[in-house]
Amino acid sequence: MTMVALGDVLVKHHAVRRRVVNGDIFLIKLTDLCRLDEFSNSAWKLINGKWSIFEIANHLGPRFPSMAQHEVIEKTVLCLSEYLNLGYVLSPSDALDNKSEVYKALTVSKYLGSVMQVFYSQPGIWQKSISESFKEKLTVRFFRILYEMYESEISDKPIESETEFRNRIAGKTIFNIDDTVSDLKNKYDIKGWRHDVDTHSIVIQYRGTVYSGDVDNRL
Amino acid sequence: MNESIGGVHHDEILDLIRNQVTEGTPVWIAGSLVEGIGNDSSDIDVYMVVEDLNTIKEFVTDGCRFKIQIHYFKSRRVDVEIWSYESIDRLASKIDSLQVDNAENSFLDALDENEIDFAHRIFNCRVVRNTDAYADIVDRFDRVKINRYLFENKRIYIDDSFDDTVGMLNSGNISGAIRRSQETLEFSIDLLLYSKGWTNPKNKHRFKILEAIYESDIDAREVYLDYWSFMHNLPINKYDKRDYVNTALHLSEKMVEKAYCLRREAV
Repeated sequence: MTMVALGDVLVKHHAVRRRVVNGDIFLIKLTDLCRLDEFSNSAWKLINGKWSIFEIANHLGPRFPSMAQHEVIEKTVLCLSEYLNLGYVLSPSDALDNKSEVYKALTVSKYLGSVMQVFYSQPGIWQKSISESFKEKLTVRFFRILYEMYESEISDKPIESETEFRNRIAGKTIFNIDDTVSDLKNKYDIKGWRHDVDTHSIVIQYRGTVYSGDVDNRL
Repeated sequence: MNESIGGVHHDEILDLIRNQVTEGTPVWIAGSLVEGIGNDSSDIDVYMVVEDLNTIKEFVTDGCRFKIQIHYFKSRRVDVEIWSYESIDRLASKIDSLQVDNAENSFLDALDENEIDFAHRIFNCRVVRNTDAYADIVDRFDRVKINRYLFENKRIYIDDSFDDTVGMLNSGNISGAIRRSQETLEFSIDLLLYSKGWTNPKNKHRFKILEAIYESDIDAREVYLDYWSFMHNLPINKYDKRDYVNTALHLSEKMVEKAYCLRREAV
């Protein structure tokens, strides 16, 4: 039996799904079934392609307080070794990539860019004449100013992180760019914005004020 | 006050079936327009219940347990689905007997499309005639059980398409794997909606529902962006396509886990 080492990082095999059937928990790889106990189920949930076996064991410890730390480590190693031998997990280098975060970042950037295009002082120019990296910096700068206004004004509900704020706007733009733009216009009174490639700057006109600054400022 | 749906007044709808209803006939209007997810092309779905289906002589579809008439009024199609009390009773008993806690493959599609539509719409409608008789009919149906059926049925769909995707990926049928992985993801979104108590069974309304709850539901928001981010980034390179399929399976599992968590909390 192949044993894993404490420093190993593992990822779940793409063919494996976890299902609860009549209260019992199984890992299923096509026709192979593996029934899980509470410990192996908790261990499975902690496999994320980032944490080492040791880190997984450290997270499992508090969940099983009746076990001594060395027992938790020993059991974690045995459990993950078994998963490895069954082909339920593998090393990151052998696994297919999970690109969900990459796809999301690309999509959010694209849709936030489309919102910015609407507010641009000279329609059409922004899409044609700016490098992707500069465009990304302008997008971050633009939406950070909006986020700072949002953050200072919100009081009645849990505050979103900047990423959640950007994602919410991007997602809504996918199905309704008109409403999204109009909502931002009403909330933040954005009149327009422009950029200057030579001075590496962005100028935004909103709420009777004009912000002008280097795009790298406060990134 | 005479309410309207899709530009047609309730009285005008009743006029279309005036010669088939009596004082005691329950009539209700349902469908996407009533649920606020329809559009200019959506039809109006009218349900009425009679003692004897054989008395209905004009119809375009005879589904044995029901008959369907189609009318056109003010540029709107109006479908009238007529059920008998007996067939409704049989449907209610059929749903009562479903073993939703032990949903094996034999459970798959135990209810057909018309039965699911009827069961969903009876809880999502506007009653326009004989509220008391309608209330008696609704009492025969267990909304929670219908929701559980939809959840478990969809879970079987997901497992089936998940395994298909893996099989296609492993055998090099990458185009097939991509298409099936998209379906797996779509079914997983349905499962998440069912875990939140939704019972609309129509695939075509999936995204309209997500959009309707986008601002108020953080899970719906996340799923919406994940799905469209996946759809917008189909790669060209064959190795990237394998990662693309893997990403769909990963997202699907994330949604399924979330759905099970929500369902556990609800129980």
